[in-house]
Amino acid sequence: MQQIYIDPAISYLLAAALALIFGASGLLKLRDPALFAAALANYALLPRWSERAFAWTLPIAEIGAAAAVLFPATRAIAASALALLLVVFTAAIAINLARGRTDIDCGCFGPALRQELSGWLVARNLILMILAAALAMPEGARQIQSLDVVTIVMGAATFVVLYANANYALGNALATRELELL
Amino acid sequence: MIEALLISQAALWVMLLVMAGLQLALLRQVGVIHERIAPMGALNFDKGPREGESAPVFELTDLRKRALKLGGVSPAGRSILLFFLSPTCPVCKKMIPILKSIARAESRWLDIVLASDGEPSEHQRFVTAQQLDDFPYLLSQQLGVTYRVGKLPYAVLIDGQGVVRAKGLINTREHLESLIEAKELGVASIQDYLHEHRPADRVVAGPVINQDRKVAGDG
Repeated sequence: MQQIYIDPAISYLLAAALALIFGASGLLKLRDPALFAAALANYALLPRWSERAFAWTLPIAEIGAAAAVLFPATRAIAASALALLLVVFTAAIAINLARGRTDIDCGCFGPALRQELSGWLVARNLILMILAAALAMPEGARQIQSLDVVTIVMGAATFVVLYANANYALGNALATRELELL
Repeated sequence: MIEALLISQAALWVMLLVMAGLQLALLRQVGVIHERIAPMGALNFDKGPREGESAPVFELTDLRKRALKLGGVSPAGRSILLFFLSPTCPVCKKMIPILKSIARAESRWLDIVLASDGEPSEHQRFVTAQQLDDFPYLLSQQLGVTYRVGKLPYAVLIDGQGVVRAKGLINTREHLESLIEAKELGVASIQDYLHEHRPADRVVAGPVINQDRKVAGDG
């Protein structure tokens, strides 16, 4: 079977983008751990005594993986950790969607963003999961050139802005649907 | 040839990033427009009681079946902080310890009353889990409709004369304290305070929490 490689420039681009997204997500959650603990409680999946501990460990894990994914030596393992975190988050969202609890807050970005649960969040996380899985693949042998730096910096910046746009568009879409229901 | 490709590539990246930025600005503006029009809708038949107006009188019973009168002159001259919350709102849960500490600190003149609506059993579980037994807990949809509560948590401060002194969306301890501050200073809201202390020609068009909105097509 032929081994699939990921181009090093694409690898760096995705790593930088995921590092920014998960770093921001973790830091925002740590800014208000009590709020994130309350968001966790809404998911009704964890025993109450553990919520406070998870409200600290989950964001720290996110930040740790976000930092480690930037370095080629730790990239594969950090990407696997991000994928695992995403599996856990997405499962929590999916379970509560199945329970019909769509009115609770996602908690995804701490106090910065209020997002109701919806199938779109699951789709969003699936895309992030695929990207994290791609980062866990071995890198091709091509040397990084100066033009690659442009690709990495501009590509990662564009990716992060587009990701923010997708979240805003989702919020607006849900708000629009609420208006239509009135 | 390669040089032309490089230049074209650089130009494309710059323009793509600018385009993404513009899209972000546009989506944020749509979001702000939503915020402005969101509280209109089926629930808002009336304008909410404004600061300085008498609070409508409600005779209600709380979760533990105790009778409670909201509004009107309080015989003991005590003020009421009416706090709208819900068991599923994370910010509300975060505010609970803060509410308890304010209840202790301001116990000489202030009573805190919690208000929500929905299934009593769910709220009873919430009260037990968060140890809210000390506070009267009202379940009344009419109350939320009357005060035009859009987003939670929302608080209304009613003084001993039954007059609404301050109200607004609450996200932090500072917000809650600003209501108490607003009452002590005799201004209706922090927006009013800023407005009064600002030259008239510099009116800021930002999201204003306390303003009653004119609702189009509302009769």
